[in-house]
Amino acid sequence: MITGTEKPIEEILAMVEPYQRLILAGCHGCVTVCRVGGAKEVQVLASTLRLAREAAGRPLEIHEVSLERQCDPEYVEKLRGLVGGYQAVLSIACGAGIQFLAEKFPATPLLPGINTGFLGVTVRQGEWSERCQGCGDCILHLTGGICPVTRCAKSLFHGPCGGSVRGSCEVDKEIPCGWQLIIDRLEALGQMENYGRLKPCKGWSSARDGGPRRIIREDML
Amino acid sequence: MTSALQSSGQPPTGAVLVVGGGISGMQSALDLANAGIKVYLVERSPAIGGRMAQLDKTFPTNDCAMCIVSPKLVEVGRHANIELLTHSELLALDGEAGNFQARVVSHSRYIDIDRCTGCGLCELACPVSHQPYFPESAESPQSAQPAEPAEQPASAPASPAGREGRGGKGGRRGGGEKRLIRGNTPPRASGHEHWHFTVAADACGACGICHRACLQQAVRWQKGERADIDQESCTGCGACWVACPEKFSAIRVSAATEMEKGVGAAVQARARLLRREFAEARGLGCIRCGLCVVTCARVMGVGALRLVEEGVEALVDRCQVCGACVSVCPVDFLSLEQVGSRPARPLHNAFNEGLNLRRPVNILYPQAVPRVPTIDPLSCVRLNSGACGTCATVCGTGAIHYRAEGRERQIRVGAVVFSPGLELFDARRRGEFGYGISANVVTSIEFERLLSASGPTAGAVTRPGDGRHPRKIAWIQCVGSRDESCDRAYCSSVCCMYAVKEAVIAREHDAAIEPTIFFIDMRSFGKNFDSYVARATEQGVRLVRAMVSRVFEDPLSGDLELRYLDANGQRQREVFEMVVLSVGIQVPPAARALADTLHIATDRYGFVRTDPYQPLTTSRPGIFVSGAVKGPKDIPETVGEASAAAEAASSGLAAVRGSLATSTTLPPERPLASGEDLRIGVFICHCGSNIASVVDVAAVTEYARSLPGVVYAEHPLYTCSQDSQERIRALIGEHRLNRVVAAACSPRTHEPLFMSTLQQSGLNKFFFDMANIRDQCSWVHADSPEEATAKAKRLTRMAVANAAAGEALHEQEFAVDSRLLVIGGGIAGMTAALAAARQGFVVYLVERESELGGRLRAASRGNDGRDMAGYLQGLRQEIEADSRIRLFLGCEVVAQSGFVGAFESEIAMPSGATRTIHHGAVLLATGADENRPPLHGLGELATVVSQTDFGNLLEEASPPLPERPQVVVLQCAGSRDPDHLPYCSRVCCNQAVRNGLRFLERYPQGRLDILYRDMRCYGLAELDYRRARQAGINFIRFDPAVNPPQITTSADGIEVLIVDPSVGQPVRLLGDLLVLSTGMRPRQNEELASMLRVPCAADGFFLEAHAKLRPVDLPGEGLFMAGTVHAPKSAPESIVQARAAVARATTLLSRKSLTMSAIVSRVDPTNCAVCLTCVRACPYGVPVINDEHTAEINPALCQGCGICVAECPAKAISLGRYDDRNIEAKIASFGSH
Amino acid sequence: MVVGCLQGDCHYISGNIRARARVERVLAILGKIGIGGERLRMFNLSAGEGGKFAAFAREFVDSIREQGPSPVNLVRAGSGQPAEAEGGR
Repeated sequence: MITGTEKPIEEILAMVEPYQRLILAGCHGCVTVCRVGGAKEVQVLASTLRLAREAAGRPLEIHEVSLERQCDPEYVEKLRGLVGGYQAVLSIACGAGIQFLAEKFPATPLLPGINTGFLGVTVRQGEWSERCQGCGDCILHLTGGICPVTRCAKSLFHGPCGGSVRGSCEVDKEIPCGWQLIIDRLEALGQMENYGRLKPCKGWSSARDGGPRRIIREDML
Repeated sequence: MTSALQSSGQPPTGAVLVVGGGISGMQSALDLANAGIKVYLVERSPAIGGRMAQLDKTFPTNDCAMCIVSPKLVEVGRHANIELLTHSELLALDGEAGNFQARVVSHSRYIDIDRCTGCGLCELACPVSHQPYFPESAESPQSAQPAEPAEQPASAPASPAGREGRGGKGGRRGGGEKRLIRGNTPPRASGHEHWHFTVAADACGACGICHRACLQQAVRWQKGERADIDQESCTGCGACWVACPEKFSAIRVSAATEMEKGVGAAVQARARLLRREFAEARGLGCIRCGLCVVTCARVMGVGALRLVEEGVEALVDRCQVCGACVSVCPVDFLSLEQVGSRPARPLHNAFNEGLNLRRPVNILYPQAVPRVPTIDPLSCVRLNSGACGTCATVCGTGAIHYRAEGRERQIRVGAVVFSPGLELFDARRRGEFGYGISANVVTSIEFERLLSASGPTAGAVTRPGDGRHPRKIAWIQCVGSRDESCDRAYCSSVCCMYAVKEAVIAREHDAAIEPTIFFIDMRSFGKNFDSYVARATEQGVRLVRAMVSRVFEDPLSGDLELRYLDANGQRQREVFEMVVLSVGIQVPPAARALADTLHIATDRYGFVRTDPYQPLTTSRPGIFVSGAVKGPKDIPETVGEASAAAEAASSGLAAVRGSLATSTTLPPERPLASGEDLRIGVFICHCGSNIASVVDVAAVTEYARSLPGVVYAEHPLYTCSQDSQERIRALIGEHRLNRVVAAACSPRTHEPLFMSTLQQSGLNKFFFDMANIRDQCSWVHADSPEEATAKAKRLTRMAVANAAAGEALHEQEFAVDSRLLVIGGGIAGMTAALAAARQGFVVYLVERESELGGRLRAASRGNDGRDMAGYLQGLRQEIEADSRIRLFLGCEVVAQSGFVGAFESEIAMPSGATRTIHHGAVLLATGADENRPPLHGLGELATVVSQTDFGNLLEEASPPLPERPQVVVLQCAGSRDPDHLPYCSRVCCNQAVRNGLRFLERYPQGRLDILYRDMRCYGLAELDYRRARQAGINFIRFDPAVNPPQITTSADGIEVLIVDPSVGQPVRLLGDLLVLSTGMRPRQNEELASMLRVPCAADGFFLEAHAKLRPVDLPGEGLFMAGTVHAPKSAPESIVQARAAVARATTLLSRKSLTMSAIVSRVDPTNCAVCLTCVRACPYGVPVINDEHTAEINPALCQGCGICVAECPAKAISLGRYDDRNIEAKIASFGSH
Repeated sequence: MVVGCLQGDCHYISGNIRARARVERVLAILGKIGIGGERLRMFNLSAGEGGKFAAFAREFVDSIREQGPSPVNLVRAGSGQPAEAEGGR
């Protein structure tokens, strides 16, 4: 899932400073699951902003709404009739959702209410960890199911760097060396031959070059 | 094992009499009542709760005892199938098992229990604080400590003539010593809150006595003329009124609050007001309000006091020393020593162990059930002299009847559970410890009260001698336990733990306290007890292994010097500021007498005799026993035993279950029309004057009428009284009310009552809300009536808003499968299967092995030396013969689903096939194993054996031992050892002692040495330990850190080197055999735990739902356990647990259906994000993601805590009446005006 | 003022511990937006500790009195200076 963290309230207050009427839009997808952008967070943030602004003597009117997903046009359409009546939309969906709203309602300023994090997993209640950087060229079958792009601090593709010390990354002892993990796992799987297999250089074009990536499924168009 | 209950041929009576309302009796009563048996619960004292209610915290969890026991009190008090007979005694029992006739006397409380609302005004108004000297009764000083009221006959009140004979005759004063009581400052006339006195011209005798009595020159009088009072100079002291001869009674009082009720009530009212006004002046001097004099003359009818120029004059010989004058004095001017010549006899509060005082009319303790006071016929002035009667005048429901008499009745029951409880050893019998002589020596139960936040010191640990905070406190263990000299040779089992707990809690209250516990053996043998003791020592509790020989008091400081021999045999002296005597447990004489009356056999100490393998059955068929009356035990053991006794008692009554149970039928619920207007009825309670004396209830009512939706409001004197309930019912119909709000007392105690009234009126019971304007307004803001009234209005407003937001909720019912699955066929499982079958249920008994019997198949003899194999064979045959038991040998339960009342389990058969069974409850009895650590060559050498091996070896026809064998026994071999088993296995000490005795029986010339750390022969097993020492078994104590035994073992023999601390010398023991007490270890329980979705503790044993009060319940609903799967225990203890678990299961299986609470979490699937938050957050593991891809919460399992509601990020979960809608309505209403 | 049972005494096992975590979150928010986190506190008490409860209530009321009306109430009453949020503008 896509994870995110709360933006510092001071930052949000500064963003909404010019406005008196706005929509606060949550998303029922990933950000609900990672507890930053669901219906409850909409209520909490709206109350916080109202209180803060009232205390500052400049009351803020907030329309609370939660969309099923902010990354799908059909759901986003539900805001259409509403945005006109407000000065801005504060969205606590992921960056994709916020941008999608901005795209659909070009006349309305869009404000981000959360900091979008990463593609990750729930380690336990309240703890998430990154697992994928969406590089667009998956080789997990060769690396024991552990992604070198994500788990290695340098996203190295051909084995550990010289900073791997006793299984830890040189960046921080608390971070396990991604390549150590891969090697351990390959050993356990009896697939060490994969480690030695010469891989062509990674084509990063599928990861970040050429502007926003697109996926087109002809069969579904 | 079956008790033949139907010997007489007639059907048994479906009722059980439970003797004793302590935790044992309450648990028995609840388990019986919940299984459809009618229960009569007879309790001697005026309220149930017993000892546990007196405790502050309980070990090993440090739970607040009252917090955990009070819900049980309320449940017992409200249970439709339990008839509570408090202040009552069982006099005789005729008939036989199945059909007994019990004769029970209920002593008079002088209070009508049905009318009393428990408001406590009588106790508040009663001025008497001390046992008065009544002239008629020739009292000896011995009667200074009034006995329990229960022991007194219901005495008729003395004739009111007594009053005329003694009091109020101002003219004939004199006789005896007069004493002048003067203050540091001359008396000042108060003038405040004063009463208006006038002279009734037609009655005045013109005698002039009032004129002379008045110290203000306010009474004008000329000889031969009638008196007249100058209101300008009158201060309202009442001297004239008191002085006016009774034949005239010419002085009239007006402008006196509550005077219409009586003088006593008026005095109290004025005292209250004056106390507030003179709060600053307390102790400074007399304010000449005259209340003492008026009380003495006009309320008590004594007339021993008079106002004089210098202060108050007392006729000290006339004074009855009742304390009324002292208690009404608003400025604490008087003291009892000053006004009377005879020694004051305080009325000690027995519940607080005499550490503070009570009134003759009192409620036993604040949370008492029933919350109804009792009048003590010994000390009540009304009942003895005919004067006073103040309580009856303030009682708003007319519940006080001074002429009420006790009532005797015959009750038909099928069985009896005898659980009269315990009393504590009288520490005075061990005079050397100074109890009763030195004020700062207290007993452990007194210390409990000192620790209790609701106790006499509000939880401050202070010395009774001077109120100072002690720093060094010593506990002396075994006072009245393990002590032949005062005929208490047994161990009281609980004192080691309660002392450690008291020491820990004392330090929690005051970190400056340095506790020291002097003990012989630390008997922390229960589940998790050792780790509790270890934690205590880390937290600064000092343990000293020594028996204190004497306590000397320093008369100046009140400090106490303890003398003892330390571990090295050196004499030590140490000074402490306070000493707590850990007094033992014994059978109360009244319980012994009752046992005799009931013809049940007891031992020399009065403990009820039972067979170890029928631990609940007394010598008289049909009478079962539980609790400390059959041997000292702690709370969880007592609770388990109580459930087991309930099972045993109802075993023969299964056929008539439900025949006498009460069922209520309710009128059909009126559905609300859609869009029906709110029609709210509001009831603002006076609670007598509890609320109304502070809160302006009329104003609150008026205000309530103005609230939106309110169509009716009134302010009843007692909203909870029977007639008010009828009236509310009528008003609901008359005004078509669809919401009801009560602004009264605590919802905790009264909400169920009001809700049932709504139900009886055909209104959904959740259309109700309550504001607590007594506790939260009149009680806490007694000094600020205006603010209290304003707060009451606001609370009422919020309750109205909440009721308006309420919606109809329904408690759903679901069917219960009456079959029971028992997992494990050892002694616990077999016992449980048989018991459940006798209760009439089909039992699936699943045993992994191909044979029943479990671990005990390896043991040749049981506890009492009986043939174990034969015993197990008997059970096996019974099981095989019982058609209700389906036996699955060589099978395992491999999967389980469903929930309480409707489980489904899969059983893997020996063939490899699986079979699915359905059942309503699960009883887990998979046992434990003997620990066999590879220590000292165990398992390799024939010369090293376990305790079980040794026991078996002794039963062999020709054991492989020489003629004069030498045996060394090592206790705690692999127990209490972090490298092996960290815990104590509880049974090994007893096993070692018993095997040792058996050894000496067979080899009188043999020698046996037992190396031990603490001999934990708890309870009556201490007697065996004593016998063993007398028989010549040598006990050598070791401490692994100080003198660990050096053991060398070989196939030829063993050699042990150890420093014997009793002689301070190294000794060398040579032996033919080394016996290791290895303890018990849990089986591999992880898979079972995850299948049943219940937790296993770190040590591998299953965790009970509550360590104190639910010892055989697993944390999942409908799951129970018994035997060593829970913790190490003996076979008889496992039997008790097995039957207890069956009792608990019977409360479910005996029902056709279960009702689930309406206050449960509900998921709205359309909003559910399937995020798993609820699944992870629920402390009970109830929510699951179902096949429809939405979270689902089984209402039968939901506990209604609301955690998931608060956590759900999609706001998809709601909780009955605690919805956002309700909370928001309340908050909005709080802020509105 | 939020009052919960003593730690370990929760009827619902961990309810009071979760409550504390939530209270702390809210007071952090209140602090950041200039309302004042000191306006919210959680206490743990047993049912028997009436005296302690009263002491805590007094202490809390005193502390609220000292802080004066909340900025929101001041603004509503039209008498107060608008509060400045920490990083507001």
